[in-house]
Amino acid sequence: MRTLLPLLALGCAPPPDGATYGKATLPVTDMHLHTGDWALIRGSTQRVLAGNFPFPFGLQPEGLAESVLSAEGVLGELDDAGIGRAGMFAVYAPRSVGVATNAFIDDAATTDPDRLIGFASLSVDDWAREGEAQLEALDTALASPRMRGVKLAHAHQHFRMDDPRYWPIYEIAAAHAAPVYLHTGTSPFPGTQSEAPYTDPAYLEPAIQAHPDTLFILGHLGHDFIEDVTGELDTAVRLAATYENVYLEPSALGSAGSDPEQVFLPEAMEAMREAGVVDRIIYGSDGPQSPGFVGRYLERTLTAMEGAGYTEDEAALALDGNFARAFGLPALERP
Amino acid sequence: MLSLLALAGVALASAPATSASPTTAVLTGASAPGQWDAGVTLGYPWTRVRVQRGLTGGWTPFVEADTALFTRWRPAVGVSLPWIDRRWRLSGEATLGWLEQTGTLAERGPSGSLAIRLGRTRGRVVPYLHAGTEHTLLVDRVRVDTADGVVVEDTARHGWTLTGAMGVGVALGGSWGLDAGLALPWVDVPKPSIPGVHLALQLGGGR
Repeated sequence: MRTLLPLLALGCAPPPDGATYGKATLPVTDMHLHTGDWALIRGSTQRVLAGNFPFPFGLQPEGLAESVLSAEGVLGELDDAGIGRAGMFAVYAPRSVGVATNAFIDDAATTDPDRLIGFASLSVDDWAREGEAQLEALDTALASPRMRGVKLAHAHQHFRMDDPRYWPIYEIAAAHAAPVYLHTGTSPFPGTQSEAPYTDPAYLEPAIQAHPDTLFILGHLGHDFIEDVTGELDTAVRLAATYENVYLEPSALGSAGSDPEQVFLPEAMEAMREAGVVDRIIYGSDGPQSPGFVGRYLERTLTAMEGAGYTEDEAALALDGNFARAFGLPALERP
Repeated sequence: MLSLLALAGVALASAPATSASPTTAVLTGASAPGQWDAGVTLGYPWTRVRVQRGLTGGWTPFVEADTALFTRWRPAVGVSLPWIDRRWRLSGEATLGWLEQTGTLAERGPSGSLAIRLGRTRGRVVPYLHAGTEHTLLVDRVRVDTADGVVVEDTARHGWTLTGAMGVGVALGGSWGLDAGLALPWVDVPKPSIPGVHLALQLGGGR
């Protein structure tokens, strides 16, 4: 039944409900979702993901994971959460989390191109020999009207944030007006790099300065997912306050697993508001992870924003307006 | 649960005593001296087999094996002893076993458990409640390729599962009976678990 619901929704999709914030109902874009083929995810990462499922679903996670990870599954999660549209990330990290190819994402986005927005990526392994070909592939992928951004994860892909050999990626992104999403902070997944040059957004500053036409979205705000402590939040916020081409995305750090006491996400939302960078916040969850995660993360974010005193207009910017402006897309209409 | 127990007690207060029925014996964890009893439980996600034999003094050694979705297995041996044995029986039991979980979340290790079983011993209908705590010593093995070769690191970890079940059994004859109930485990605390359901058959009474 669970897998049928998204299919039914495709035939007669009701308009998304939006999120209730105070007395308002606000449209929401979740810029950070994953889709992919369970079989192409590394075993160690499958273990982490399956561990998020309630017992006994994690014992035989393939079916549930496929239903959640598919484009139809993602749409079902969006519908359940009242979310209007979402970004879906390609991933080329065979040494850590696995691979979701550009072609896979582009094809998945065709399921509902108005609601699913693709982010392309590229392999940086063997860059000296394969770099040119990978850059051409990225350029080709971004030519698709469904691929509107670039996803990079230095910690997962094992390349330094301050290595200028990879800067042509930012130039290609700017040529396509495609913002670049970057995982910052450490990662809980096995096989990832945890040293500062791969995780601390301060190491991105030279690239940010050198590419003013490229939008950099600092994912996870430099959170330390290994020690489960606030990581480089101050640095991420400082970069956004300093550079107009820096945006901030507070996904995953506020999940029930990472933030059971609901400390990190309220702290981050408050820090961003106090620094005056509300116009740079782009909402994301890092779902779907497990059924219902997308909706729960949105609820926790709304709670954090209310606690930090976000006005209705500020919340509307964080939930959709900033995304629309950064990606050159029309803002979602209020339900 | 309390209302269920009360209703069962009122409705069946005059029923004949069946304390030696296999249903009562298996659900309350105590067989009559010299009596063999067995239970087979089928459900989602748990399937379980248990065979026990009563000894003098109330001791009831048993062997059991349970599996969740035929992916998580735990064979064990144990012993049960009634602490209170009147209209209701309260037994305590301890087991030693081995956890073997295959698939994506593969893990294995020795485990032990302590549990109580509460059930009615009068009448054909046997409401029951089981609760326990199960502890497993798990070892995570990480193989790291280094310049000096492969380094294997073993890290011990404690796995904790709270076990629980409630339901109602019916002794349908002197040598067999059935029960239906809910499994209420919390597997690998603090990760979330969902309840399970089961139907079970008890056989025995033989010597």
